[in-house]
Amino acid sequence: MAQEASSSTSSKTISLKTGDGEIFEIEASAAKQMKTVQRLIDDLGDDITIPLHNVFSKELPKIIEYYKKDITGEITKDFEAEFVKDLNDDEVKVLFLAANYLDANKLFEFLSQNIADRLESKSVEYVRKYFGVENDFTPEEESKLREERAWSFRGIKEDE
Amino acid sequence: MSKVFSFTGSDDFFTGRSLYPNPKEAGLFLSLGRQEYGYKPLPKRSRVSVPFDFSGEKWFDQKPETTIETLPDECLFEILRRLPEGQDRSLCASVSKRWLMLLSSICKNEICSNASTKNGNEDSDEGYLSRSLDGKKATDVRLAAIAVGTASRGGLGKLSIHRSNSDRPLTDVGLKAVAHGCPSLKFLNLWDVATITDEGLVEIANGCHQLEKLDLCKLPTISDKALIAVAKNCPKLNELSIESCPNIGNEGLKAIGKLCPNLRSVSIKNCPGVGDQGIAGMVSAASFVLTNVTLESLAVSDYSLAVIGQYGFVVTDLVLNSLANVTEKGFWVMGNGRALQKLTSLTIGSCPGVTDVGLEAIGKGCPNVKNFELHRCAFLSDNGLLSFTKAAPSIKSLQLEECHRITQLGLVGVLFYCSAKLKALTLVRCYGIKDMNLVLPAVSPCESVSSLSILNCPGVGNSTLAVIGKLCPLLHKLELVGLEGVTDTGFISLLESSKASLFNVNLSGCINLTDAGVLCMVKLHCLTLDVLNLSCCKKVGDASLTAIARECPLLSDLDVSSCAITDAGIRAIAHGDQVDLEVLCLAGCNSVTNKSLQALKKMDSLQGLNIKNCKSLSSRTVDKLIDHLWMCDILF
Repeated sequence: MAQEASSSTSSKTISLKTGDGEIFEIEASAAKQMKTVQRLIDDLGDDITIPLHNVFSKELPKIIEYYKKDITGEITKDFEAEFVKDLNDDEVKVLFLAANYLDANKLFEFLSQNIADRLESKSVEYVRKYFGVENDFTPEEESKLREERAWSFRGIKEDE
Repeated sequence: MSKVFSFTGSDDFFTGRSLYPNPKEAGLFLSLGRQEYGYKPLPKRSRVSVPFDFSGEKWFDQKPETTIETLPDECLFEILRRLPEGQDRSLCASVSKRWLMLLSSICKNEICSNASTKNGNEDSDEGYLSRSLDGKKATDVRLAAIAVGTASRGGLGKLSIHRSNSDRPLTDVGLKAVAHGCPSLKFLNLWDVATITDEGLVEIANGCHQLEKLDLCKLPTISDKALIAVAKNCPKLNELSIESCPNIGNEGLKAIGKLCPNLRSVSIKNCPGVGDQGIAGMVSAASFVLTNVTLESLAVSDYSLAVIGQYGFVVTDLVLNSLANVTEKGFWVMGNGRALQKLTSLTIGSCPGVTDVGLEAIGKGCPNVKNFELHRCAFLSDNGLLSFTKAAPSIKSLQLEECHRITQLGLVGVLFYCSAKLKALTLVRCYGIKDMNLVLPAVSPCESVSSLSILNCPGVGNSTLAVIGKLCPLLHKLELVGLEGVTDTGFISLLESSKASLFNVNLSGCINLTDAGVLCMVKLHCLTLDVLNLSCCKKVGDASLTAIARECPLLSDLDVSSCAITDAGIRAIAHGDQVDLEVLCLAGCNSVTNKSLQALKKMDSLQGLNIKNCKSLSSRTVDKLIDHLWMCDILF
């Protein structure tokens, strides 16, 4: 497939189409950070719209925002704190899944740390609900586990 | 392009297609790792694109509770490994089995908590905790829980696993969890677990470098591979015990000897794969550190003993049991090797190679042996025993068990020729020792032997006792157990020869002793008698108790089980001003009735009281006793 000779400037933009049909533009250098996107570019060329079925218009802007800052090297602790400040737990979940799908390493690690931090001092029930996990321990196993961590029942925050 | 990907004819590219029309089912398809056991975590770091298709908003409308549950393992792993140590990790371990197993597979060096650790101190993993799993409780899930739970609370130091659950057997997965989560493990005891393999132990070796004591028993699947891994990775190993592991052989032991610089104690029992190469290799390689060696039921030959005799420079305790292939030559060579200069404690049992010649060589070659025990030795004769006694200058305690060729002559010989160091002599079930009409020359008695125990040697009767009495006048401890041929005459003659004071006397099972004998003893040794055991002396009764009560101020421990005592005797003991008993045993005394309650109540100094099988004591009496003597431990 012949690649159209586009203006090969360093700030080429790539079009991304989300699962719900919206189109966003990102810089080519930002796209490089998202390995999945990069792979698709390598396969399909960089002038068609890359479809991302598992990412939606809610999250993609946030991701783009993160990587815009990343290319300029401006990611600081403050920026990261701001970035997640207004996100509730569910939104972080979705972003995290998207980052995983896009194979966007830096964002992925940052978000996994953030989720780990959010789990601090939560109860087992909350964690189960948050992740949608079913309890598959037998009652005796559960009681043994409780014994092992008897002390950790103290200091639990109220479920948000 | 559209020719290649011509599903729809458009230029859209589908990265993947849901196999199920209903998106919810896709979720089920992807719920990984929900197996009951045998959980195999996916390899980390290989982030594969999630191959299902979120088809638009409809998906979210259907309330997808299972979205993040379907998070692939590697993603969940990344979150979990960033959890700080402590309660959060333990908490997450309780979420579900998949989470537990994932958490337990995280190695210590993969944990990164950039948040400041709450306890801050690096040595919070000293290995203070110990856990023991038995049978039903021994499962992979439990081990994973232990591995995660103990990690931040001082670390697991000691782990014992005996047998495993039959429905959910313990496998290598559980051991891997321990290997990853418990780097401070010092002591591992694995007993009768047939479902683990070398892989599990190799993981433990790789993960637990602090391992000091390893105890393996009845593990048919463990082979040299595991031992070699332990040898390579656990330099602090100082105690190794292997029993009934048929697949462990010489290579493993050689590796251990070569690579473990701290190997102090080794015990190998009943391993058919172990032979001379292994034992010799291990002993010679560890010759400057090995102090305790126990070999039992092994197919080793004279060669191994020769090597021990040549390289056992620091061996202090040596136990050789049931070595069928070792001959007289082996023991002779061991003695002549001259390396066993530090040997202080030697036990030999059921070894057909022990003969007079062999034993004499040992006596000469191991001059510092203080404690010597010989069991089931059919060939040792009186002469051999004599030569050994003459050759071994340091023996403090000598015990002969089931050495049936020894006769009264041998016994006399030992007492006569022993060095001044012999303090204790014990004879158990030696059927060859019988009464003889010996006329003893005037010999100077043995002044050093202070403790004499003759247990269940049916041939010992009054004349033997008379001889002993003359030869051992300075006894402090006397045990004559199960000697039915002994009557008052013999006992009294022994007592009358004794010049020193008896502290500890055990006459249990000497059914033909009566009050007369006990009275004589009380008369001569009342001031020093501390512990007295008269159990099963059926002819001893109240008269003895009365005398004891009157005369023995130091008596603290009295056992009169199954004696012919009645309430009168108990009353005498209780009312005796002199006596302050701490332990009293009345088991099987059927003539002690409820009338003794008052008397027993008076004994406030009692710390232990045994009234089992006292058929004449009612439960009401027992209850009252328990109430009154609340400081006393009562067995009923």
